[in-house]
Amino acid sequence: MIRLEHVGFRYNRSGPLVLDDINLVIDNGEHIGIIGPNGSGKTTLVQLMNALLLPSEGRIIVDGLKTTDAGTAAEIRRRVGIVFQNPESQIVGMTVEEDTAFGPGNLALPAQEIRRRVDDCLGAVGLSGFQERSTHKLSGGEKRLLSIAGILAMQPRHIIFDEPTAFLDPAGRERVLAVIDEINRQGVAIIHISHHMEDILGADRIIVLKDGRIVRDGAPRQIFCDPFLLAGLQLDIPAAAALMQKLRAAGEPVRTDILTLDEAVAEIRSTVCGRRSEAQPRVP
Amino acid sequence: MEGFGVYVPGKSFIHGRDPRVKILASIFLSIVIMRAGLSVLVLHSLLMAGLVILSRLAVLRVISSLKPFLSFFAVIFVLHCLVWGESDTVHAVSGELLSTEGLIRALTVTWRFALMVIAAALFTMTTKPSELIAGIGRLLRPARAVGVPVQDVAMMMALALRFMPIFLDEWQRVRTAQMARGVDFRKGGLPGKVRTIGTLALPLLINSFRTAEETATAIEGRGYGAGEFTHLREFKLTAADCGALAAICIAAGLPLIAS
Ligand SMILES: Nc1ncnc2c1ncn2[C@@H]1O[C@H](COP(=O)(O)OP(=O)(O)OP(=O)(O)O)[C@@H](O)[C@H]1O
Ligand SMILES: [Mg+2]
Repeated sequence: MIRLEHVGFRYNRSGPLVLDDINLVIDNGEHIGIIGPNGSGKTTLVQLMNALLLPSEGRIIVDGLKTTDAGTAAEIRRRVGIVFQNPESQIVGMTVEEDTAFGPGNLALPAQEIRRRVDDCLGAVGLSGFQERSTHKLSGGEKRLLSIAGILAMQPRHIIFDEPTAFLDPAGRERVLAVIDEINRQGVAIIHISHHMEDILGADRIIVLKDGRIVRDGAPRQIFCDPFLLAGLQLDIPAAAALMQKLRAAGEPVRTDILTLDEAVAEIRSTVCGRRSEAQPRVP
Repeated sequence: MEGFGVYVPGKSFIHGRDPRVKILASIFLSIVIMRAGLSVLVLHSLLMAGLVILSRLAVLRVISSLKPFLSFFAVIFVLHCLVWGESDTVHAVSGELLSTEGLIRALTVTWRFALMVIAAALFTMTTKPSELIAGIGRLLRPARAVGVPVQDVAMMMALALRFMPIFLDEWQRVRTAQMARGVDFRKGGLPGKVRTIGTLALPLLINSFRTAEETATAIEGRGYGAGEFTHLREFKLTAADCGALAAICIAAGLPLIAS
């Protein structure tokens, strides 16, 4: 469990509060989506969760360990892994297997255990057989998957993904999302920052950040189907929700609490059917 | 075309040796070769040939690592012929341009350098760069006692290796971007060259600072700096490692002592 209590953060002592009075509890195994415009403090927020940054105000407790206590950083980083925004700067090994081994090596695990984890985790992200490949020659999607494997190999209980689908083609995006879902199914908590609302429709909860404050915290349906909230933040509205809101604005009596395309199809079909049966009463 | 001594993956006896053994053996071989005379060099060459065969590398590929040094060898050879010739009284009296002593001397020196190049190539071709660095780190461990941050230095070298190709790519990219903006890299003589290098270096520098900062955060996030760390490969000297090192020392050292 990660708990943030009245957390404030500034990068410079005299600088502005980049995060202000953040209160947040992330349960074990939960899948959280974090959205917010550029510069709203998303990356800063997650770096506070594994002691890469320390709060200027308030406190952060990870599985009972306070991030500001001396000597807790190593254990906290073992429990909370971050897959960073830019995989290029996260990959430090010359070959795929060496890079995956970096995290477990820092835990000073014995060589056979590292080998086992490396092979398992590369398999989990679909990179088995890539062990000896040079990291420099991987595609963008493969680099992203490798950076996930490198974190998985530390077996953290919580994994933060900072815009994991940025710069990926649709197939690469699908692959990464499937891997994230599978990790969550294994009981690992997921904290998923995204600018693509579609990526986090399946989250348990969505946190909306604006100017360093949490402005909303609720179920995806509550957040994404609010016609004013996302527009006010200049964020994308999921396609299905946008469609239903347009139909409603055009006077159609459709429901607007729709998240996915499948739901949208079902709702439109039922509205159309209802109208047909009104227009053409059955011939006796 | 690959660069000098680029690692060739393999599973030979030499590939499998502990990097520390290979480092020490290479250093020892270089020292011994540097002192060897012509007859001992013949023996050393046989030893080297045996090692190359043992490494199961393509023999031609190993030999072709001499290529970049050919002009260097030529200069060394000619210089030694002449220099030795001039200080040679026999030669001065007889007025010959080349003396046998000069030729032998030149041959010995050139042969030494060639053998050393082969030894170095064999070493780097059979050792992963990361293992090489880890090996250096292990060998230098005693220096920690006097406060040298050996682990950090090794990590720094590993990162330099990892980011070198990215840096070169960036260099190309920035160059292209600058050319697209009308910077002509062929114009302007020396001052112009200096200026254009500046225009290239600045964005590159800014980029690498950013990458460096991100990487520092990332490796900390991946648990670096907590203390001891281990590797995918276990660094434990086996009987085969010790035996191999002893065998090389004897095979290369004995002829020298005997001569
Ligand atoms: N190292 C730093 N030093 C000073 N200020 C910083 C630093 N990193 C970020 N900031 C500032 O903190 C604020 C929040 O940045 P942060 O990177 O957390 O935003 P973000 O929500 O992740 O944005 P994006 O969507 O662009 O990734 C921004 O105003 C940014 O300029
Ligand atoms: Mg960010």
